[in-house]
Amino acid sequence: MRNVLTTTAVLVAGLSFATQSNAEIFIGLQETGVNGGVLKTMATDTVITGFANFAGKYGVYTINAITASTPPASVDPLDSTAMNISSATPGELKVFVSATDVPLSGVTQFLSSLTSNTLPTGWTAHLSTY
Amino acid sequence: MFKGIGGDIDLAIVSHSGLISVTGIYDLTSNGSGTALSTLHVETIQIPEPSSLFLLGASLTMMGMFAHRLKAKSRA
Repeated sequence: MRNVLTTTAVLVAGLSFATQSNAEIFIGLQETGVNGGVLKTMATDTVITGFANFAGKYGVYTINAITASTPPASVDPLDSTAMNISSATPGELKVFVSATDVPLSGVTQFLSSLTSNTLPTGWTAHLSTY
Repeated sequence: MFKGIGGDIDLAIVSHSGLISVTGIYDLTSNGSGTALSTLHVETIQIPEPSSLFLLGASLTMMGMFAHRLKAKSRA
């Protein structure tokens, strides 16, 4: 019985090690008239593995504070927040947060929760994941 | 598409073993000055495959049989 328990413990430890993730994360911005309208990578997880953040101006959006995390920094494949402050000039900004090398094994259900916490009148926010 | 505060969920089932990428997109359109705050959260739930369920069932049955035998032995 003790051998069975030992074998099981070793197996579980092995599986835990095998599912360790080395995922990477990127934050990119895209706006018409900026960088030729081409998507530009603004931050990666160079300081903290699995976590990236960007704070700064981009186009007509004077302040952008964007965070994104993936394992090992977070438990879930993708967690992200975006606060964007616009100047008086109207404009469309696309924020891309992308986690790569996320390990997957077998049939998995993905549940995406998309939330708009604050949005001025007349603005639209289209949130999506794929 | 949000025109004010709100929440939405989206479900997808993926059958794949290996490395994948997960991307979230915030597409904001402003008509003047203001502040938008949005969040994206993606979580996964593992769905057992039929073969895994069979193995789990077989293991539980074997353990039950083993326990029954031990009990019978200790009684004798």
